[in-house]
Amino acid sequence: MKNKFTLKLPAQCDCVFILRSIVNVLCKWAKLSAIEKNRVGLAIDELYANIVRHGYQGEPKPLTFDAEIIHENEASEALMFTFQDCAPVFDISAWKCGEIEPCCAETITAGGLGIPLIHAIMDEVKHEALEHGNRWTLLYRSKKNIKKEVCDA
Amino acid sequence: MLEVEVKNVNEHETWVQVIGDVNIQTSPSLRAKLKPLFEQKGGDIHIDLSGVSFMDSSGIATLVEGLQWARNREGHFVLHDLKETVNDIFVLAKLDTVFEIAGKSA
Repeated sequence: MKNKFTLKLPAQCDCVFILRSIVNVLCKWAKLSAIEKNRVGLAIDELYANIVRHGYQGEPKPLTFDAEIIHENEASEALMFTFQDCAPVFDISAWKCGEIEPCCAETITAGGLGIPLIHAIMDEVKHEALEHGNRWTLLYRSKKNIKKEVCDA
Repeated sequence: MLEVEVKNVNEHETWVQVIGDVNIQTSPSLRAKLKPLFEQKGGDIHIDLSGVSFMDSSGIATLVEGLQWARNREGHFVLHDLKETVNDIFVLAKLDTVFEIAGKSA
């Protein structure tokens, strides 16, 4: 199928580069800027790391990854990514889904930034509890003014 | 996949050059190189990130440890020469004003 990748892989750290390659190709097809491509890659990287570390706790169990460009309407298209694992159902209430709060050098702690970054980057983040696992769906809509946002920041 | 070179310029100043992507696969090697430096009693640590195009939260977490070291030891932990894509992640994470970030490395 055009504009779609489907991949079955073991959930282990070194496979992160395979996902990154797929995301890069899809972002190129969608004509995203380098900044957008980097952000989308980061969100995918973070969710994958979360499944590897917390879902499977380091065991290289199977994972399915889908990545595709979808046409939401005539004027816009979006990138949709789906992970499906067979890990214990994730406690979604543990996710910090709010906006990233500013912090300072005195109070900052290492860790805990991955999930907030996913929410900051993606337009939609959806979790479905399956009978034996979890399905995660991430949707990213291209932002034509993202370069300007970055320059103004 | 990730190159990390530590250069002790003098007893007060250490430079670390990082080349490659920092992610779930490579960040442990960055942490392994930096951890001994965090045992230092003082001085400054400079991280040259000019060779890094991508960094995820595991890499940022390692750098936060450097920040904590600096706070506890009254040293400086300075990030140098961030590429636009890496700087964007620091802005997105609202960490660009938390770290000392400088321009070109020495």
